[in-house]
Amino acid sequence: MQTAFTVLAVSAGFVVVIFTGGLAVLFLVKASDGSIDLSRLISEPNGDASMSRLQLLIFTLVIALSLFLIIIGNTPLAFPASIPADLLTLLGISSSSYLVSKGIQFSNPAGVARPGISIDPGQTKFTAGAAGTVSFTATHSTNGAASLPAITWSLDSPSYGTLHASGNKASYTADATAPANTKVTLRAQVSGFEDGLAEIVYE
Amino acid sequence: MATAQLYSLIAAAAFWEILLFIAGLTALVAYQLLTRRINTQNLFCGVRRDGRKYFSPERVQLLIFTVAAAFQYLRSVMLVRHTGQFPPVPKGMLELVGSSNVLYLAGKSLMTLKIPGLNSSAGAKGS
Repeated sequence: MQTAFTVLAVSAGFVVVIFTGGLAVLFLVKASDGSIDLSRLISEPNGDASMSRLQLLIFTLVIALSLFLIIIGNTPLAFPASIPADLLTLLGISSSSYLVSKGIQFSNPAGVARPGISIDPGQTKFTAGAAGTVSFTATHSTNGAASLPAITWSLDSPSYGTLHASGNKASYTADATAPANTKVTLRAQVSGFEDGLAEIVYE
Repeated sequence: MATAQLYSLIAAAAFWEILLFIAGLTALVAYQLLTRRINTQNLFCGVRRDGRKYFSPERVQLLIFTVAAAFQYLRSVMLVRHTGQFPPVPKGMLELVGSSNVLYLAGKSLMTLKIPGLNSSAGAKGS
């Protein structure tokens, strides 16, 4: 009986270690290839990076690493007998600062407004069956700046026509096979911004 | 293999697993911050009441003191980790981080909030 429990305990131990290890590897791989998006880890609702979030992130990682190093420093492995009040104060300062900072920020609509992208022209019309090309330009909807982070241009379904994009400009070539009364939506995406949309209409 | 050795093997595997995960996560976040895959746009900028952005020195000093305090504490932990106890946080470090945060919040309040008689026109005139 004793042996059976030992086998069970050892097996359970290996299963837990392998499972958590697999989860950890999966998370790191997906976070590094972008499947788990960390791009807005320290971002505010308005798209800007936040210093108080960064501070909280740094202290959290440091305390997590410290706790781990201290636990493995004990023989046998053990949780530290006490957590110094000063350490809690340090985390408290960081967390309080973060909360007060959010309070200040949310008291001002400009601090939380999410910026958008404008596409010019907003609407273009083609005659069905005819050829044609039109150029679109994306700009920051608030200040009109053309310098935006990497823009992803795409056509929503039905995606008639072809698109050639370069930076904040995209050239659209009409599809002669597109039927009349079809609307194609051109979309410009930038991380942290509301998508910019333009309409292409086949009449 | 003896049962005690199997338990040791599990403990060692768990140790390396957690160490590699925390180290990997830290490295990943640091790499993505430095290559700007994690958005750092306007990290040193604040937003005025009228929506305009401004360069904010109080954010720069907060980052400097935060990184300095983090490295200092991690160094203390490395020195005393064999004791199995957290090292004390130096009083000076607490005061420094606290003052830095107060300065950051004061600067942010001044530029963001409307404080009658103090900054009623600051948001509109500054650059």
